[in-house]
Amino acid sequence: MINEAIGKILGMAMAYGVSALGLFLAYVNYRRRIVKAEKVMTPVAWGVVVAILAVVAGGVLVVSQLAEPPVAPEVAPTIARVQVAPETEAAAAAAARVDRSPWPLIGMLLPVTIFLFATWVTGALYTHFSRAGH
Amino acid sequence: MQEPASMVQFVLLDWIWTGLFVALMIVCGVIFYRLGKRSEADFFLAGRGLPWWLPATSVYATHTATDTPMWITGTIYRWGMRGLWYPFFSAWCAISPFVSTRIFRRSLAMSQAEWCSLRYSGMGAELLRGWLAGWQTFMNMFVVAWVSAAMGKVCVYLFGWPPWIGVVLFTSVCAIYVLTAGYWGVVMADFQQGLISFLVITLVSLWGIYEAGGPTMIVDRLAALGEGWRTNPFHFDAFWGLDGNKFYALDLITLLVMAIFGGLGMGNFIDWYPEAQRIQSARTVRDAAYSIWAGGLAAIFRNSFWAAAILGFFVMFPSIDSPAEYEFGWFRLGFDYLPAGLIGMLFAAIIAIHLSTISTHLNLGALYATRDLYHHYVNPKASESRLVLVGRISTLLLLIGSFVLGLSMGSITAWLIFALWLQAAGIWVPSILQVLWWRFNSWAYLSSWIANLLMSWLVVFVLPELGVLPQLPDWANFWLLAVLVGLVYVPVCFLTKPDDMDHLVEYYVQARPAGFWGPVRREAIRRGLMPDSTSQRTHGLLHPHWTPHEADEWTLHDVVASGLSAACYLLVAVGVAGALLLRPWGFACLLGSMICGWFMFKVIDPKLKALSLAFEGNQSGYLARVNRKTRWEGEAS
Repeated sequence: MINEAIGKILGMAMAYGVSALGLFLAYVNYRRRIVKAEKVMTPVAWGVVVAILAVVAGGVLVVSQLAEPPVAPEVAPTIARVQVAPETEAAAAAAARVDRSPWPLIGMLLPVTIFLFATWVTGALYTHFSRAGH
Repeated sequence: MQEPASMVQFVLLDWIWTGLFVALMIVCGVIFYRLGKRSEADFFLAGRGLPWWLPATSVYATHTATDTPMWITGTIYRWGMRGLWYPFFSAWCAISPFVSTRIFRRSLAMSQAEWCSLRYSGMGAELLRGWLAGWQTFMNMFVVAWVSAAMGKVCVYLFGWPPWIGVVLFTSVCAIYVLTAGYWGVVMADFQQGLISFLVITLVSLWGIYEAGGPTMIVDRLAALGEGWRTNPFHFDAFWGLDGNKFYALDLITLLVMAIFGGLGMGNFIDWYPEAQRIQSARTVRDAAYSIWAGGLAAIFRNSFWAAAILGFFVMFPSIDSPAEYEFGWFRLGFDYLPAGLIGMLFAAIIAIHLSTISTHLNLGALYATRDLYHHYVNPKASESRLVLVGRISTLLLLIGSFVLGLSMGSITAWLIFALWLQAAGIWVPSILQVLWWRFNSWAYLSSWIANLLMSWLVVFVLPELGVLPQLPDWANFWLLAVLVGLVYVPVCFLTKPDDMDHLVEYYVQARPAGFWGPVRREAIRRGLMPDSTSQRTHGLLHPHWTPHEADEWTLHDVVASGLSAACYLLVAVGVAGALLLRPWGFACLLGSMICGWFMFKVIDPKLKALSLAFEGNQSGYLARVNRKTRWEGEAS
């Protein structure tokens, strides 16, 4: 098993990486195929964006100064073990199941019915959608 | 680490049923190989010609994954019947059929990313399409990985197998029919798998209730344990608060608002993306609407069956503290108490729900990689056979990537909640605005996505870890993220230009979006592209005959049908669980849901029929235009 923390970082890196690849492909294609220049934002808009970014950067600095030092989290086991019955107990339970059902044949009849129905449905779907026009 | 011993001992009959049903599922997908390879539209949308009940079962099957019973068991065991509200997000399928489903189906976009380039214009639209296509390609691989990880856990629990066997074996089996027949294989196998899993879930839940002593005994024992509140889905600890271990009325309000009004938007739930594919594979707008409505409702039914059975499990084992243990409660009801033979069928049903989810996301991830990344950006002139080949290669790559990720996931629930937050909270409002408001532009939507990804990390993980924010309950996280992301996209929207009016008019005439589209509508009328129907006469709620122009307009009928549909979903959620416990209010709610459903059908069906008929007449022309856009034909200027 891969370490879970590494897995999360790997996963997010892949998410941003693939999305960024999509952005890059979109940008290159748009610039290559659409000749007409497109001005998205006015100079005022750019000014507002820069101002917002400055405020956010300042905010991050302030928050990082005010923040308490991180507390080392307790290490939890990566996979919680599931409590299970011993094998012998499971085997005995399985053997007992054959007899304990209130309807002894249900384990045979119900699956057979559903299986035959499902097989018929498969055939009917194939026959219907294979016809011309689909 | 020592592997745990197996929990369940199969007899020969169990293995026979498991083997036969798995073989049937694979064959059911593979035999559609010839249809799947015909074209890109066949490989990813089954030729856009399915009747409503096929995508409906696929919607239901996709909403049911291997981890779903574990997740819902966990919420019900912990919260009692009010835990039903956590998975109630499926109720976006209540309003969506009559709003966003209808609009998306009319757009004819193969994917949500493609829809962005039809709805928005210019570079922002293309960047959004590229971003979403990349994100969705990854996200589908991620979903395959986490569902496979859940299957790995189930196999550890059942047989004591090493986790990698559960992760790799069944996903590989599924890839056989996804690679050969594409979406044809997916949707046909989903039909089988949806039916089988629905039957088995019903059977096991009823069996569990019976083993717990029956409905009356469950209620009595809960009362004797001092846990009688567990049968009340509207039991709150307080109206609001910040303790994550309590259930507040504000939790319910947030969940209901998020679920029900979420149906107005597109892309605000992780489930929207697979359902968008099902919407587009339906043969008409009406079929698309009913497929989403019925599939979502079946998921709500399923949740309530689980809820009643888990209350039975609770009275049998009331003091399990570890979530990792009680999450298996529903599985234990089946594997501990079913007779030989049916155990094998239960395992076949678990494989069925696993395969239905895996197959959907393998094919959907390949759709984004093929249609949006390869076809639109890399090779716009690609032939149909080439596109099918690329679809298959993409499927294979997603499969391999999912194995790497799936083997790295230990805690399913944490990943699931993280992924849902990542998808839902910050972009919930923008996803609605993009449908309902003409002025909301591509830059605003793109900025909301990127801001949401950053802020969800900050709010949910980083700031609480640094001690800047407390660990907030879910409802507070949702609204905080909604506000914070709003601080980004609202200024961006007003600081950038609206989308190109020609483009908006073209989109409006074809898709007829609901909401605030006044300037675009007036321009379309001025250009003579649609009739001016301001003086159109109004009809009674049960009006049986609509002209195409009347049906295209948004009327009170759509609002009433949406409201009745939401009421129907709500009453089913409460009513089925209540009725299974023989509560009188349960039967009353069920009766109410039937009345709402019937009335909804009577109000909306004549209108849906008329608008579907009218749209079908223009569909081939619209479709040619959509395909020309993907090939960049007539775009250069």
